[in-house]
Amino acid sequence: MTSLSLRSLTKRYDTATIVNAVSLDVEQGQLVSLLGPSGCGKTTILRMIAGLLDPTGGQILFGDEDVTELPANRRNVGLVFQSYALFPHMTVFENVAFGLRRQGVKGQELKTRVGEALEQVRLGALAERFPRQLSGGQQQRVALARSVAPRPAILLFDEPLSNLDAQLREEMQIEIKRLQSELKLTSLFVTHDQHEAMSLSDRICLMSGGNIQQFATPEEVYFSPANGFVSGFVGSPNKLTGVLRDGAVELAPGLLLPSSRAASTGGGRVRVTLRQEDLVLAPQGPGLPGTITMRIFEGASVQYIVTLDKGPEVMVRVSSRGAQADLEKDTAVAVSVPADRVFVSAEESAA
Amino acid sequence: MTRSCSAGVGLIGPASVLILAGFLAPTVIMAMLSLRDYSGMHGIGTDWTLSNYIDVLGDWFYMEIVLRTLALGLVVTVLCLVVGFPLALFILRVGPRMQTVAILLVIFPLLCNIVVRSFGWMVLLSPRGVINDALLNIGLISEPLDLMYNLTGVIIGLVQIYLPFMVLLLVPALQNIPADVEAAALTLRSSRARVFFTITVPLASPGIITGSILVFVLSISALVTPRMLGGPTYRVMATQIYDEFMTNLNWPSGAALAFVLTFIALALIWAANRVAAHLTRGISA
Amino acid sequence: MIARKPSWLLSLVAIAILVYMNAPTIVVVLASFSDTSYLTVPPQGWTLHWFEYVLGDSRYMRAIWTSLWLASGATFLSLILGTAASYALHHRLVPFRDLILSAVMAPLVFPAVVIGVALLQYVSLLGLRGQPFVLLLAHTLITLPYVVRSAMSSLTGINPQIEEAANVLGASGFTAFRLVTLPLLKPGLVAGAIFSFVTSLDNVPVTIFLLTPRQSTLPVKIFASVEHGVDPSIAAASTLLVAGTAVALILAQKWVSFSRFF
Repeated sequence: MTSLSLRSLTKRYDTATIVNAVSLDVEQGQLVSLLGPSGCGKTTILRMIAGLLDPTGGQILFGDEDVTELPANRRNVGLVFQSYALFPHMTVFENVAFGLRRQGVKGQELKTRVGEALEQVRLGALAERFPRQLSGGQQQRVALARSVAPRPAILLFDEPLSNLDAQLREEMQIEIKRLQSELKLTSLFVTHDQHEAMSLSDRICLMSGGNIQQFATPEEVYFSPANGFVSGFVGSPNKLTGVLRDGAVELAPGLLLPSSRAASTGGGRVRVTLRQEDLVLAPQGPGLPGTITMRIFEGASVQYIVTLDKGPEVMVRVSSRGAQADLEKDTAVAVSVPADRVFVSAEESAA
Repeated sequence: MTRSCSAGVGLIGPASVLILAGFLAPTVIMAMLSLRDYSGMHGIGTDWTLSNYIDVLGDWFYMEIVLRTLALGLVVTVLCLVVGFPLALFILRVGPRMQTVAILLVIFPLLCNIVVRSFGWMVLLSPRGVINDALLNIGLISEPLDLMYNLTGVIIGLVQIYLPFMVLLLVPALQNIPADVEAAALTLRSSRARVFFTITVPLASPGIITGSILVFVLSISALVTPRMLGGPTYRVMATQIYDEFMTNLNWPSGAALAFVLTFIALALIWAANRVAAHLTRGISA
Repeated sequence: MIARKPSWLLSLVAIAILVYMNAPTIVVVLASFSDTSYLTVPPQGWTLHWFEYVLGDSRYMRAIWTSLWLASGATFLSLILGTAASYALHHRLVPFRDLILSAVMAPLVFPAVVIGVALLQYVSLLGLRGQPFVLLLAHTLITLPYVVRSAMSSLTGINPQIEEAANVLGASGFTAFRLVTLPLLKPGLVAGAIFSFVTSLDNVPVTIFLLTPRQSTLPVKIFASVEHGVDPSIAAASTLLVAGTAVALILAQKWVSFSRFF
C-alpha cells in the first residue's frame, strides 16, 4: 500500500505541451479518477506513471520512492488496458501467473495465488481456457486478476470499460470498486465518462488541455465547480452567454437571472452554465417566461426544450414521475433556477 | 514505448551492415566500373569514360539485344495475361474442393526450380523430344517442329515459368470485385461481355497491372530459361551480361548493361505503382 | 465477383492450362526413371539406377551438400537478422526508417543477374572470390527480404499493448519479446523461412557468378551439365531437388500447424 505523488509532471512533443507541470497526490488506498475529454493528457499521465513513456520533466513518487527513472518492469504497478491485452497464446491461468513468475513465485504458492486472484474476479472455473474463448467482460476480469495478482503498489486503469456495453459496464464498475476497496490498492482510473468517474472515485481529478481544472470529491466537483470548464463538463449543462449586471446575469433583454456566484467575476460578457436537472418548470409565476417546443421521454426522466421569450433555448430535465412530467408542446412555462446553481465564468473559462 | 536508441541500433545493425557492405557498396563500385574503359590487351583501364553506355544505346549489336529483351518481356506478359485470365476465372467459379486442387496445381510449379522446369521444356521441345516424337508418330507432321533454340521455345518456357505469379495476382484482384456492381450492370441490361469488359476488367486493373509489371520485370531479367531454351547464341540482356563477365571478361561493358537493365526494371516498377495508385483512387478498399 | 459454375469450355481450357503448367516437371521426374542412356518420356524400363549414380557421384554429392548448408545457413541468418531488423523498423526505433526498409527490400527488386555480377566484381576486388562465407552472405542478402516482409506483416497484426502489458508485469525488453511477441510471430517467421530456404536452394543467377570451378550447387550443376550433353542423371538430380523442396515444405507445414495451437 503506497501513496502516489506527481510533482510538476510535464510531457512535451516538439512545440506541443500535452501535460503541463501537473502535481497531484493520491493518498494510499484511494481511487482517483483522471477525467477529461480526449487530448486532455490523462492517458499520457497514466503511461508515464506506468513507465511506458518518459516524462519531459517532473517527478513520479510511489510513497517516498522516486521512480521517475525506473523502467516499467521494475515499478511494480498494475495496468488494466482498454483492449485487455491478454496474451492470446496463453491460458487464463498462465496469463494471471505471468507477473508472479517474473517475481520468482513458483510451485504450490504460484497455484494458490493465481487461484486467489481468479476467485476474486469469480473466474476460478475458467483457468484452463484461452482468451479467445471468453466474452469481453470475462476477458476484462482476467486482465484485472492478472494485474492484482503480483500485489502491485499502484493500480492503473486506462479506460478499461470503454469496449463494454452499458449494462456490463455498470457491473464491472461495481466489481472494480469492490476489488479495489477490499485490497485497499491505491488506484488511478482514466476515463472520459463523468458518470463512471463519479460512481467509482474517492476523488476526481478533472483535466483539460494538459492542466488540472479541479481535484476534489465527486460532490464538490458537481455542486461547486471550480471554473467554467468544470461546470460545463459535469452534469448535463446548458451553455449560454450573457452580460453580468449587479449580481445577476442578463441572458437577453428582460431575462435576468440572479446568481450567487456572480460576485467573483468582473462585469461584461460572461459564460453561464445552467444544469438541465437544476432548472424548475412552473405553469406560471416567478422565473423566465418561455414556451415548450419539444418533449422527449427518456424513461426515468423527461427532457424539455424550452425557448425563452426573445431569448435562447434551454433544455430542462425532470423526473418522469414528477408533477411536470406531462407538459405538452406549446405550453407557456416559467423557468426558474436557484441562485447558487447559476454558474458564471469569464469568456475564457478553462484555466 | 521508450527504448534507448542503442537498442534500436543494435537490432538493425547487423542487417544494415550486410546491406551496406554486401549490396550498396558493390552497386556503387560497379557503377564506377561501368565508367571505365576496357580493351582486350590492357584489361580494365584507369580512365573515366561513358563509352560503355554510349555503346549500349548506340551500337546496333547491343540495341538489338535490348529491344529483343523488351519485346520478349512484352510478349510473355501479354500471353500470361491472356492465358492466366481464363484460369483465374475458372478458379473463382469452381467448387471449393476443386478450387483447392486447382490452386495447388498453380503453386506446385513454383516449388520446382527454374532450372528443372527449363530442363523439362528442353526434353519436351527438342527436335527429338516428347512433343515432336508424339506428333511424328501420330502423323500430324512429317518433320520435327523447330521449337527450341529460338524465340518460340523461350516464350513457351517463360510463359509457363511466370504464369503462376500472374494467376496468383489475378485471383484476388477479381475476387475483390463486389458482385453487387456486376449485378447492377446486368440488371441495367448490359450483356455479359459488356459487363466483363467495362466493369470487371477495369475494377481488376490494379491486380492486372501489378501482375503484368511483375511478369514483365522478371521476364526481361531472366537468365536461366533463355540460355537453356535459346541456346548460347540466343542473346537477351541477362545472358549478354553473363557472357560479358564470364567469357569476354569485359566487365565495364557488362556493368553498363547491368545498370541499363536495372534502370529499366526500377523505372517500370515505379511507373506501375504510380498508375496503380492513380487507378485505385476512386475505389475504396 | 459473381460466382457461377464455369462453362465446359472454360473448364477444358483451364485444365489444358494446368497441364501445360505442370508438364515440364512431370516430364523430368518421369525421365529420371528411364533405363536408357538418353532422355525419353515415357520412360522405357523403370530403374533407380540413375539416382544411385547421382548419389554415388562425389561431385553431385558435394553440390547437394553445398546447396543444403547454404540454404540452411542463409535461412538461419536471415531469421535472426531479419527478425531483429523488423522489430526495430516496426517500432520505429531508428531514424530513416523508410529508407532502411527500402534498402533491405531492394535485392528483391533488382534483377538477380545484376546482383550476381555486382557481387562478383566486388568480391574479386577484395580478393575473396570463392570463400564459403561470401556465398553464405550473398544468399543471406537475397533471402533477407522475405523474412523481413513476413515479420513486418506479422508484427502489424500484434496488439502493441500486449508487450507493454508484459513489461508492466515485470518482463524486461528481451524477455517480453521472447515470451509474448515471438510465439505470436512464429507462423509469419515460418512462412518467411520457407520462402528463404526455397529461394536459396533454387538460386542460380547470383550463385553462378560467385562459384569457383571446383564449387557447385545443385541447380548450378544441372544448369552447367546441360551444356555438356544430357542423360537421365540430370533428370535424376532434378527429381532429387524437387523432392527435397517438397520435403522441406511438408516439414514446415507440420510445424506451422502445431504452432497454431498456441
